[in-house]
Amino acid sequence: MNPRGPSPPRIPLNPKAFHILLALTERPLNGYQVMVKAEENTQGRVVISPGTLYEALHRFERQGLVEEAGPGPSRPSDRRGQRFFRLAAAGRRVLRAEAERLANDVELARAAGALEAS
Amino acid sequence: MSGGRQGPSLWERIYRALQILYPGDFRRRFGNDMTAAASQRAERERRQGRWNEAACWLRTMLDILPSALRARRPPSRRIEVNPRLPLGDVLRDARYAMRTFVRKPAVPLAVVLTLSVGIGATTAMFSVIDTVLLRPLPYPAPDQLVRLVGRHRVQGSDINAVNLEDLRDWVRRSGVLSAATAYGSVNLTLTGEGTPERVYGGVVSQGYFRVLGVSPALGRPFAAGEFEFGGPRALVLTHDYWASRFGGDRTVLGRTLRLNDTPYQVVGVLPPNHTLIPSNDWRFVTPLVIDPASWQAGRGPTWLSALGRLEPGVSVQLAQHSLDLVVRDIGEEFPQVAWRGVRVAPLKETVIGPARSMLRLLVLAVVFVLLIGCSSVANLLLARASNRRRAFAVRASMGAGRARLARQVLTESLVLAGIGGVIGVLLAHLGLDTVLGLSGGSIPRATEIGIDGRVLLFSALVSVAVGIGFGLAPALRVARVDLAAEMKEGGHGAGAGAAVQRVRSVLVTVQLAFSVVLLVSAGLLVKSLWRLSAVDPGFDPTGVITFSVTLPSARYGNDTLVNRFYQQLAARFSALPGVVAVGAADGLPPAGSSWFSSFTIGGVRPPREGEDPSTEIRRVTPGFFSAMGVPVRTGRSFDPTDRAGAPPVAVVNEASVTRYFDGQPPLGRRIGFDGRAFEIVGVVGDVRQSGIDTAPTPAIYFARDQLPFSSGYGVVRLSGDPWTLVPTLRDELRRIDPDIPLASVATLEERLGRSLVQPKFRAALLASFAGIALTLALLGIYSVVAFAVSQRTREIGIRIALGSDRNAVRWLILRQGLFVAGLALSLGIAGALAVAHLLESFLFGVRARDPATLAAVALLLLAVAVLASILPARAATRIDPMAALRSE
Repeated sequence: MNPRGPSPPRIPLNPKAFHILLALTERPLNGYQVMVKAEENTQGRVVISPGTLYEALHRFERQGLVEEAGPGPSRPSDRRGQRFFRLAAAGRRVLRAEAERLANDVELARAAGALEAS
Repeated sequence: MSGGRQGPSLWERIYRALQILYPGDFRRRFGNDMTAAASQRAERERRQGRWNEAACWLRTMLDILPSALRARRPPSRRIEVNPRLPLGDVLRDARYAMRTFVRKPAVPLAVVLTLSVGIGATTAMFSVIDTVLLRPLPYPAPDQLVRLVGRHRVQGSDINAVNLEDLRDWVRRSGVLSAATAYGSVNLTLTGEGTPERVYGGVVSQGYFRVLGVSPALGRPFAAGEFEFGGPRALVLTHDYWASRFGGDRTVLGRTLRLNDTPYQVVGVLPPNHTLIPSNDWRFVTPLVIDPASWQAGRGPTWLSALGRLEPGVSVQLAQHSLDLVVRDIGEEFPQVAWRGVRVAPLKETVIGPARSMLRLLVLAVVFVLLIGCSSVANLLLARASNRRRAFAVRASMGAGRARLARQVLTESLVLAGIGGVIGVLLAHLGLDTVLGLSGGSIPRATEIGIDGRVLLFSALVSVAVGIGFGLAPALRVARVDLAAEMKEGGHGAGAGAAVQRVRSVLVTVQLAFSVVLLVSAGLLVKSLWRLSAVDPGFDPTGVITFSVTLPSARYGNDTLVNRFYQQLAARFSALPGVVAVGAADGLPPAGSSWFSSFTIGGVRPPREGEDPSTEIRRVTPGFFSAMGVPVRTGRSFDPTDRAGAPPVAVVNEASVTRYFDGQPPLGRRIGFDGRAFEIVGVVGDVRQSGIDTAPTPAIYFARDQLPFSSGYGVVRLSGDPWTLVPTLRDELRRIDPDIPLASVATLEERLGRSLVQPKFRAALLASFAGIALTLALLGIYSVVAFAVSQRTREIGIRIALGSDRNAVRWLILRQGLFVAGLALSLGIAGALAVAHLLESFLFGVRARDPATLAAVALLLLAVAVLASILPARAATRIDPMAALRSE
């Protein structure tokens, strides 16, 4: 589809993309687990529906950010044989770059006194 | 489906159906995972209650649209999950629209319901039309396929029989056909595989598979030697029959099956879902093997049909012209067949031909339903928009541009149309199978019909067109809003109100006029159906079982054996308890195959020059008339003494008496037929032999033993419930000959009912359309009249204050509804008369311009108008004059 092959990733990342990648840092997860993990991480601020999630995973896969993780660790809840995804090396780099950018911005905000109680 | 897990829930099923919006590869890869993730999340939410579960599913489904749009875009360089579509404002408008719909759901709900019915019907109809009329037939180079229809050149009529030698010459001498093949249908009896079974299939001449471009999925096509007389007999099974009868067992290949006591080797199985010409009911195909003795007998007529493939680039006209020349040459060489010609017809035309007029009727009906739906939706939205004018005026005065406001109104209607479209497609998906099931085979290519990408695209286009179409009027009105006047008048501007009222009255009138056309058509079809079911078929169908009998010629080679079989059948079946009469015939009404032939009376051909010299020939056993309940008018019926060697006798029907004997009882007169003289011994009542809607024609009955047939139909009249005796009949038949099955068992009532299936289908379909139209009409009149009352509150208040009678007020309002209905009625009846010719071919016993039906529809519509106006009229009489005046 894309004659140039996987395109180089660009940041800043959209919040949902960030949380999808973040959810996959520890271990391979299936789609439902990514949704739950992202919700837990953000106390329900980021809710991702299956359509958005899989469309994003599909794109990340083509961009080399995530890869399918084979059969994955079998868990009793995983009775439907869903695919597992894990973060690829490129994905880890993108996530790190984005986290650094965010941290940087937070530092800037802190330095400007934006985090102090008004 | 076993254990703790149940099948997919309704939500899951809908979600799955909606996934069609994603690209195919995406859906195949992630579809299951998405559904699993969605239902896991919904399961979690269910613990918080059913509403949470539903909300979760709705969120999941709404997410499909944006993510599907993104999944369909080419890969971008950015990492985004919610990339901003260029439609930002529109999406915001859409969200705003959804919020306002949820706050005040009544009108949007009515709009969505109306649209989903309209779009659903249109979608279903389009999927039928698309498959049947627009798509090429499922064969390679389908445009090259033609039917070669036999013609009677003198009479100028089609005769459905082609001669194999003619066919060979057509291909060889014309040079326009790359190949041609002949085929016919047969019923053969399968024995040696459990219970004997009658199997319907095709016999085909060489090249059948090559012409169609089909080859067996398993095994091989026929070899040349298998078409030779005395050679090995081969059989190719259809996929369905192979799967259902032999469980898809591959070892069937190479096995020998006994059909009509002749061994056939199974050499192949056709691919699944293949459409065979002429019939999808064929369960096997076998080579046409012709006894060279009969081949030598000359170019006699045959019972075969023919199919040809044109050489590339040859048009149907050119082929026809070339074949005409060949036919003329053949006629010069063989003068005895000079009357025979051929007509080249594109295969597609012959496949869909008979259904064309019915499809046209249905398309028209569906378009009417959609138009009615649209005008009623436009009406609702117009009312809604004019109620919101003040809100718009406020927004405009706070700086919202008019274009912006107009766009919002348009977006609202697009959102409604979109939701209506999605529900409509689901409705179409669910309803299509039901409709096709009811159609009773009157829709060709039914197995190919389904909802696919093209159909979805069509529905999307219709939804958008509808959304823009009915959104435009309110949008334009918003764009024209006069702010100052609007704020001052408090949204009850008399001038604007009157204009809206005029537009709405026109819309309702148009809608009603279309409804009238539908109502008249439905009324005519229902009346015709009623007439049809009241027709006396000429026999008594209650308590009669019928079945077909096929005697294999290998074991029933001569008349004596066949006669003995039928005599035994009559004797043994009559002896069973509960059996009243037993008969057999070579064909059964109302759709029995007919044999027409000429005859003489006292050695003279009866009809005058130029008249059709043939009459219907029927062969029956002695018990036939009493088993069928056909009354004997004078003389006697056949009896068992009318044997092969006895004096030849015949029975005629009443129509023959009128036509050939000037109404005089012809007992004792002689009929010359088949080289013998038959004495007429009786007259029986007329039977509608070739269809319940066809008037009886003259017929001559002969005694079976004197003019034998081997394969035919048995008829048994019983005193009790006919089905309870079927097992006994089956056992008894097995005692006569264990290899003859009791096949095609049906009560006579069922056989009769089959001829009503298609009229019933048409009437039911149009009646349901008319019902929808009438409901919408009721709502339309109601909303217009109620709106008028609300606009005229002050005027009515003044009238009442000035002492106007309440009845006068009521009449003032009723008059409004009646005026609209009356106007629509005259338009609608004019429209109904204009389209009457489309219905004519479907009507029986009623004219397309039936005054009674028109009058009934007029009364019905006026009644509906009164009904719809009563509530607003009562509301008007209760207006409190003081309150009405103060409110301004």
